[in-house]
Amino acid sequence: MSTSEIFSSIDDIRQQLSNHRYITDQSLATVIYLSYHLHKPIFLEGEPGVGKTEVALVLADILATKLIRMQCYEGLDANSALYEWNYPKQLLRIKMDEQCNLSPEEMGQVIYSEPYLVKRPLLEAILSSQGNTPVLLIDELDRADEEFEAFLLEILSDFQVSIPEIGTLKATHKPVVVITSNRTRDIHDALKRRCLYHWIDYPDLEKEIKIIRVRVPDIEDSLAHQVSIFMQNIRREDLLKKPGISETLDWAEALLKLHRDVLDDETVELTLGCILKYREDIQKFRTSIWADPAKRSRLLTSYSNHEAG
Amino acid sequence: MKLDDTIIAPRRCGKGMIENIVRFSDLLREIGISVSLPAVLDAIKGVPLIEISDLGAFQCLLRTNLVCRKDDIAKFDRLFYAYWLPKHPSRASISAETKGQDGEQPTSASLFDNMTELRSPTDASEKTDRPVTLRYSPDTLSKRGEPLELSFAQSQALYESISKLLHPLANRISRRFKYTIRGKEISLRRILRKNMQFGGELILLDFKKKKTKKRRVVFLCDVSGSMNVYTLMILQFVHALKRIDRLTEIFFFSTDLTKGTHLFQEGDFTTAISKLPQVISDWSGGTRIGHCLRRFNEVYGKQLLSGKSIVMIFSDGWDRGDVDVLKEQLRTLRQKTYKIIWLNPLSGVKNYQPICQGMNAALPFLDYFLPMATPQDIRILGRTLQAIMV
Repeated sequence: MSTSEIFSSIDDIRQQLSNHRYITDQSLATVIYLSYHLHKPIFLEGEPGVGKTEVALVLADILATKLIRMQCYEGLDANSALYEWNYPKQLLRIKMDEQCNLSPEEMGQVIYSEPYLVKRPLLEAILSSQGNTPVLLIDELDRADEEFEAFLLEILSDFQVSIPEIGTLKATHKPVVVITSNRTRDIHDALKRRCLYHWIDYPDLEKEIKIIRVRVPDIEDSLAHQVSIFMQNIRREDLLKKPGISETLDWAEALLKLHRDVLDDETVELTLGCILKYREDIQKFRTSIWADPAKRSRLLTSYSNHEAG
Repeated sequence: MKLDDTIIAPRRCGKGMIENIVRFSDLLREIGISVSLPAVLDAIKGVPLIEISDLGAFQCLLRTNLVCRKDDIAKFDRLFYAYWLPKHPSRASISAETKGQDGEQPTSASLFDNMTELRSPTDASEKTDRPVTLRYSPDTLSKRGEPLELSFAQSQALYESISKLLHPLANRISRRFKYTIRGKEISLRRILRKNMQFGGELILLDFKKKKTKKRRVVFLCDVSGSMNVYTLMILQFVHALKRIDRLTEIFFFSTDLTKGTHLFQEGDFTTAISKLPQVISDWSGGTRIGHCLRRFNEVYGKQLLSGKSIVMIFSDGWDRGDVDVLKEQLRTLRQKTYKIIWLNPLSGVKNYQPICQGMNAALPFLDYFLPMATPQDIRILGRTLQAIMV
């Protein structure tokens, strides 16, 4: 199937996503559809663990193309994002050719050629798009600094780069770009404006059950229900870090490995580490939520209520 | 003024999709969502791509192009229904919702009203007369204990000016490499360039080292009864600081210590603030500074403090706890941190002397003792931080 057939309509994208085990609503599918046809990057924001990065992975899967991933971190600069010369290799070459009496110009041509170029993710995205459209994932952009944002702005606008020794390289097909952010810091509006913005929320009950079923196919239906209800309830509590969908899936996997088919008091206590990742949260859960019989029963037994309703 | 059909109807026009999308984006700008022209163009370009009869897809097309902040999504959706679907049932529920609002903590609905009020053309002349930044008269200072009445617009203006103030700080702190003639790591890039003239023989060496690391700011905020008036302003400052430097940690204390960093991860200040009273159980209680500092040192000290951190304490120093504990804990804190800044809302008052028990005991351990009662003091704090943060 060619890519144009794959992305022919919004429903089609949604279907493709769910075939690749990514359950989503219409709005994200629309954003992906528009991004593909308008050649604009997708800017995804949302709480940690709601599946932002996964979007890029699945897209690469659907398009059967290479995923180029750039993880942002504090201090990330153009050299680690775009390209760098392989200096040790260049030095070795110079040493090897010492006896050959090459003129400096000839030597320059040798050591500043493509084999001596270390391609970092952005350059890789530009070069490989000469073949087919790759997916470029720029993950957790909020971790990088503002200087890097400005640099990215330039690259994303025309996907070309000038390397003084080689010349200007330009992408023939713009890659599909997915940028994610956890909102630990505000990303500048100038960058966001060039993207299609989408906020991924925690899933609702129905969707969460669907996701568990698709991702952890061996799980019992009743357990999937119970886990989803528990997670929906616990996200309403005031916690330092609310568990996302990735925690739900970890937990479901863990329960499966432990051969539990019902969520009871003991199981929850044993596997609490799967969903709560802060000591303060675990303490709070134990003292003010779990210790309260009404809340505890709501977390565990609203399943039967749900079923009745 | 509400953005209801009487205002929206004349703005609609029968001239077709493009014209209406442009008018709609103008309305968005009027309620405070910044929409750029290329974004509008892209939205229009997207129209032929979608099934126009599918309302969800159309809404999504406009939203993803025209909105670029999470906080604006709710505002957008309201206006979308008001503009494109004048008879939509959700409109009735919106106006019902806004009527019962409590003015203290604006939710997005009443916030929406505030915005439209501020930007409506009818009171444009009035708007220009309004001062941009907020000033406090000395009178307000003497009326301690009364809650500070800030309108939403004023609070927004103050917040913006604070953010602007912090901007230089955002650009200065970084962990990038810089080149030096001495250092731990060799910089091959520079060496190769430098030694080209010797035909590849490495004679001159060059080094790189990391730029000075950021310092972590740990902010401890007194929320006891004696603090109500000034707390809002400093919280705005800290919220803005957290936006540019995610290492910042926030704690609240009165009789006990509460961690509040997660609240300030919320992009919108009003939302962050509205959750405060739920999280802090002893809001406006008494003060036990020493006890709270001990809790901080024991529980969070190891994790958060290093010789590089800056601790900011915002308190008036009225302490009901044990003074010896306070001294002892400040001494411990002093050893673990780079600088301690104490912000005192009272020290701006004429003839103020730090004679109250707690403040007096704390003074010998502080690096900076700054007032915090007017926007001017925020500026001083900003400059102080700039000087010591890098």
